[in-house]
Amino acid sequence: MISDSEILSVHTCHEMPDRRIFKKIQGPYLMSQPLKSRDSFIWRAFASIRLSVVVLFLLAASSVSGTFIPQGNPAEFYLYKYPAAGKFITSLDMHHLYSSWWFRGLLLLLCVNITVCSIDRLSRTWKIIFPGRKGVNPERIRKARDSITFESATSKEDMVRAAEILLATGKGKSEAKHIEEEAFIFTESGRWTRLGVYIVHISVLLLLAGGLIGSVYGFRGTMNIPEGKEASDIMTGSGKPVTLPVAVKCDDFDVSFYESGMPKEFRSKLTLTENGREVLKKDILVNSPLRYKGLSFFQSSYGVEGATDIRIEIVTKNGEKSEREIKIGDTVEVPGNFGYFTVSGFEENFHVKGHTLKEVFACFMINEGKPSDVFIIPAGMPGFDKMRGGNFYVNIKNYKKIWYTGLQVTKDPGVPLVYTGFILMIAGCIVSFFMAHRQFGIFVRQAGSGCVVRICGVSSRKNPLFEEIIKSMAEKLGGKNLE
Amino acid sequence: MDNSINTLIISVSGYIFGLAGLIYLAAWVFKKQGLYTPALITAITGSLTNAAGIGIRWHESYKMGMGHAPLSNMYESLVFFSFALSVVYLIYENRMKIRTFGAIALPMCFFIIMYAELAPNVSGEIKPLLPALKSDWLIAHVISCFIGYAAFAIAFGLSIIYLMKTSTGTVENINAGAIIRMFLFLCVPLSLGLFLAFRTTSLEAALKAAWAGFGTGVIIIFIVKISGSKIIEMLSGLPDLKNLDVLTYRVIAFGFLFLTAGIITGSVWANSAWGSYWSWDPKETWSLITWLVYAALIHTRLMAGWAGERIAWLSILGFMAVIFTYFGVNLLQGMHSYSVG
Repeated sequence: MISDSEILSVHTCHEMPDRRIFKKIQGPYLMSQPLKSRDSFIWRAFASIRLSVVVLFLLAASSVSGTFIPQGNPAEFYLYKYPAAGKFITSLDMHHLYSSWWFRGLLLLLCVNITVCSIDRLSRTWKIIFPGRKGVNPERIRKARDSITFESATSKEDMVRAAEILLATGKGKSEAKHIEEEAFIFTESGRWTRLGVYIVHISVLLLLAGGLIGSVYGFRGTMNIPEGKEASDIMTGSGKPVTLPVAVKCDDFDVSFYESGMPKEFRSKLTLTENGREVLKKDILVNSPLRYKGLSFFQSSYGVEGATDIRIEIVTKNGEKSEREIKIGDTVEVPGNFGYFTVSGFEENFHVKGHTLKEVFACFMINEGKPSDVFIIPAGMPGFDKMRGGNFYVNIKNYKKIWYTGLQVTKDPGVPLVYTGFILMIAGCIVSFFMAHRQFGIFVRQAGSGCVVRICGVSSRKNPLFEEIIKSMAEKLGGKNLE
Repeated sequence: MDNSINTLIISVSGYIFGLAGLIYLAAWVFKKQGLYTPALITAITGSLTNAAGIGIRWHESYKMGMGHAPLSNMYESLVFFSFALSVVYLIYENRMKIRTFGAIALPMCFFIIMYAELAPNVSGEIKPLLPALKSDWLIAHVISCFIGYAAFAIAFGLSIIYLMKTSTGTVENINAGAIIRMFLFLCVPLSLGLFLAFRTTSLEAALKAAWAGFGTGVIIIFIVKISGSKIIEMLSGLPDLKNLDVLTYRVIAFGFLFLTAGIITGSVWANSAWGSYWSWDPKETWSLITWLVYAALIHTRLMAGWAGERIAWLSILGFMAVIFTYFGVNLLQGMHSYSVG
């Protein structure tokens, strides 16, 4: 495709990787170049960093709007709350902004952009990291921006030896070449650090892939299990129940409090059963979940399910007192032939006439075969039941709470990808921001009985102290009066 | 405000930072090179005192039977922010060999601690940790984020200086265009930042703070306008534009690494506490927004034509995002609210 009457060479500057400089060396005609795929408009558009910046800003701006518009409510909420903009919000899915088609489209665009940019630039980077037999071109080093030239009375041979020793103390090997009258001593290190950028970008792709897999193949739900009971179904946010392949039994639940009343720690003792066989027993705390075969069980909340071991005291109108310990639903005979008494239920908070009574038992009695209406007796309020005016009254002296444990159950097969992405992103950032590919070249030319020395340095990262490094190298070689 | 030892020591460290800032300012304005050493020593003293306050607070929490690292509420996070800012600044001064910037960085530490002391809804009381906050990932997450914020705060200061230089430039007469620019990069960030910082106290306090910030900006512009060449002379004590640009970029890169680590540790913490590494919670989302702005900034450097000045504006925008992430999200709902104690 390139005719041999022309030589087109492509230089790409490190400072402006977005443009290619075409240099026509010879040839009377400029023959039109058939479009290589890399030069096509589409490729160049997706390979442009300008696009990356635009997409990043668009993602930022749309994320901002998602924090001001409440997310996840039904459409009517927005039509009511934002009379002017409500329809606009729901039609553009801005109430599910982060899972909307256009937000995902932006993320997809970012992925394509990253991929195209990386492919576009990788071959060039690869050639720098693995230059093959060609090695370094001294002329490129000579033109380095950071350089110092000075004269020295030392002989050329001595200076060359000093330069070799100096460069050997740094990272990387030093090699000396003699080109005509000039010696060129060279060292470089950190070629591989140029891959840092690609590592960062691959990590972004991994993160997005992991997120996608998680949203498609994962789920999140809750289950409330009373102490002593077992369950397999969870309720997901969308309202659909999911049946787990394991059954979870809550053997015990425990909550402890600080003096202030704030919760200190919640703990559940759980047993997992799969196919009838017990497979795992573990205590979980709020920050310490149970993980089994891709499922994770988190201590999320708790509550009171009921009461048991209820100690009651029955006082008949004859003054006869007796104490019993019962469970909910038990029927006890009231001494003195005054019928039967049952506790039918328990409420932690009972609201009546604008008041809230705590720890209330629902009860009824059976007299001459007829059950009465349900009446309430709060725990720890002796004599409360006297108000009923019956043949006997009951005091609830003590009882044990039955807790239920609130578990959050999740499954996210994307997590390993996402965590890998995290590690790569940190590693990639460290490499691309804090490490560099450095090349140092020292040119020594004979000048009378002494020599002229030129020290040049090239770094893949701008470092304001780089000049200082070159200067100190010159000083070590005996250079004086350096600018 | 309670009177326990740790808050007292932290208070003292705030005043030491203020003093250090004044010495740096004097050294810069009056061009007295000899003052830089006492300034540095004062700054280091302030930093150590700040650290001591944090350490004692940690110890005291154990004595009270609710031991935890002091990183769990607004007061503690502000105090750590000030400490991180002082440390990042001192490292920066040492590595990059510029000292004049201490006149901006140290007063920032002073103001942060003063805000922690005086803002009515910020309580210095040591409170026990809720179960969800008991995690080593919490410590890593908070520390990481605040080191990142500290770096971005320094970049913010450097960018203001950059824009101040380009606005005053070599022109003796600072024209209307320059004044409008100064209004944009001084008054707007100051009033907006202070508004957000005080909004959780009350709307009234926030508006007063915003006016105070606005007024400060106006006073600075006024001083610049009447001092003219004196200001240009003062600004020449700072590195030139090209170096300022590279210095800013380097501190942003540092901040970006720690913000990334902060977001990551936060996600791992969330995943281990409630099974979801990302829930688009307003605070999570805003930290991502901040990350996106700085990522865009880093990429604009590769675009030909986006010179140091646009980077400076982006750095200011990024820091506004940081301030919103820190203070603003307490006004939106979510589980991250520091506004509770």
